[in-house]
Amino acid sequence: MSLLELRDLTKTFGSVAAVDGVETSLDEGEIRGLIGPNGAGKTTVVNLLSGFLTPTRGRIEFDGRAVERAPAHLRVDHGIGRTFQTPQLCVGLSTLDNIVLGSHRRLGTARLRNVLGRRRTSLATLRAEAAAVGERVGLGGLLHVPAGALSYGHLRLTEIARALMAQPRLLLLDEPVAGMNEAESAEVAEIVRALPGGGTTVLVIEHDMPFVMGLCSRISVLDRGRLIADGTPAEIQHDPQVEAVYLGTLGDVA
Amino acid sequence: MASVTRRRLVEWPLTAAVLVALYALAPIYDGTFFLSFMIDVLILGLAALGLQHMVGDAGVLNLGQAAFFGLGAYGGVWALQHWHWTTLPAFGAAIVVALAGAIVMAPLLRLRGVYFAMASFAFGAMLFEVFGQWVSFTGGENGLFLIPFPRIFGHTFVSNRDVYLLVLTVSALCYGGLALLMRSGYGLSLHAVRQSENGARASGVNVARLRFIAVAIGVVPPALAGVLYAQAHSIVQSTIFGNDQSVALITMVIIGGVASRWGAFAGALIAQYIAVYPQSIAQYRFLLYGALIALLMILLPGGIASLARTLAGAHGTLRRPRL
Repeated sequence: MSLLELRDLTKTFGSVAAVDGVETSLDEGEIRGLIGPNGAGKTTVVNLLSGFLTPTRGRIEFDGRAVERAPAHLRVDHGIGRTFQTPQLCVGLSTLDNIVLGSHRRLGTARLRNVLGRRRTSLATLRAEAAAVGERVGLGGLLHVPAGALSYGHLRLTEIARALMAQPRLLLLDEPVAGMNEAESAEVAEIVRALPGGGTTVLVIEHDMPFVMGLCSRISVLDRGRLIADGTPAEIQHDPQVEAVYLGTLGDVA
Repeated sequence: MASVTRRRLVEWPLTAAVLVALYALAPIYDGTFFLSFMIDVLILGLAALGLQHMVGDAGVLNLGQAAFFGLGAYGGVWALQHWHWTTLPAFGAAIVVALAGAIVMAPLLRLRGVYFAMASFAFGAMLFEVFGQWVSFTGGENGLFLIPFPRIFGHTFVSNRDVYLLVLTVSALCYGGLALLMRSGYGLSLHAVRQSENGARASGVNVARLRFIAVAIGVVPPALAGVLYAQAHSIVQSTIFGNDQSVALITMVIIGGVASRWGAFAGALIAQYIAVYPQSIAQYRFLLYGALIALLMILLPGGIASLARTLAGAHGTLRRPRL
């Protein structure tokens, strides 16, 4: 059964259609790649899915519910998490507290019904949970370091850990391995590969083709806002339209 | 966890020592002008403390804080004079009226940075006009007189020593309450919104709601300060809730250090000292403020609090607020 359905998803900025009539669906448990040249509209798709932008037209059905008008903080409630191309962390807080923030919706003070009811979880409990998630993504020794002192790769891992704290059913990763070396990106691939087992479906934007081809079960290709191909890595590599867009740069990497 | 150790070894004992010293002032300076001066310092410090929460903790640059000081004063005095309530329930009335003001201000919170600052300044100017004109409620510029002394659980606080102890206790409770809040999940979310709004939104923080809650919490100390001011002086006149008071309050916060709760009181001490002691230069008070702010922003962007931290050898966070 499909977890996410996009119907005629469109976002225009002035006369430019950044995302133009995108239709696709993601199955529960899949790892979907979203590729395309610079300016193809990949990040705009992530912003639309996570509520940072509202579509000009079209529907986003998540788990059978239309969520395209829901504000960002409610998308998190629905189970959609995300990371950013440029990590958006609080540099003054420790790595651990940055991760804890991901469980914001479970904090006692996040919602009135948490404050009044018994659904609240204590900060200490969440810190323990965040430490476990941090360990899992390989930040074990860095949890008490201010996030401002982390390397770029560790910042990205912190963002992934933060997103996981919300226990998302769909995680949107915007270039998770940009600027990482091969060993680091292999580690990220391992982390991402384990996500569907924990009930998290993944949509990943990435320019690193070997990473995408090796990780994703299906790949969608955007070009100038339009979805030009949707298929398995093998199908995508031999799609003439995709080849034309990439001028053969996909090579035979998979 | 260095920060926890530092908090245990340095901050808590230091805070306790300062608090004990402040309580010790009461018997030592009983009946003196100095103690009355300290009452005003603490009252203004309370109003500045609420503003520090908005500006320093939430990044909401409110330039109309005197309005909440006034709303608290008038709300409380109405309950004291018309319903003959005692001080604690009058605090409740003051908070309700100040919160009503915060709700009126809420739509302005959509604005950011300089735009919110201007709008809040206008909000303060508007309420100052209301305070001046709505004579049946506020007494206008002539003010409300014969406001009773503070009375809690049957004890009336008449002497300046008693009033000082009351004001000090209320200040300490507000200070402690805010300190606890900032260490809770609420504080964590506020840090997140100030430092990385996108990251906060992606984590499910309702930024608009959180900013409003910060303002709502930040109007409580000035509301209490309003009642205490009225009862300590037994008179309130609308002239003390004008834009110059708002400017004075933001000045206190900046002088003390935007990131520091006790800085609000340190700022109030300096501002009130400049206003009261050198009588001959009192009329040049704002000239002094201006020079002081300019110098501090250049030499010490973290305010007096950061200077103290540097002297104590701890690496303080020298930061200007992100607005």
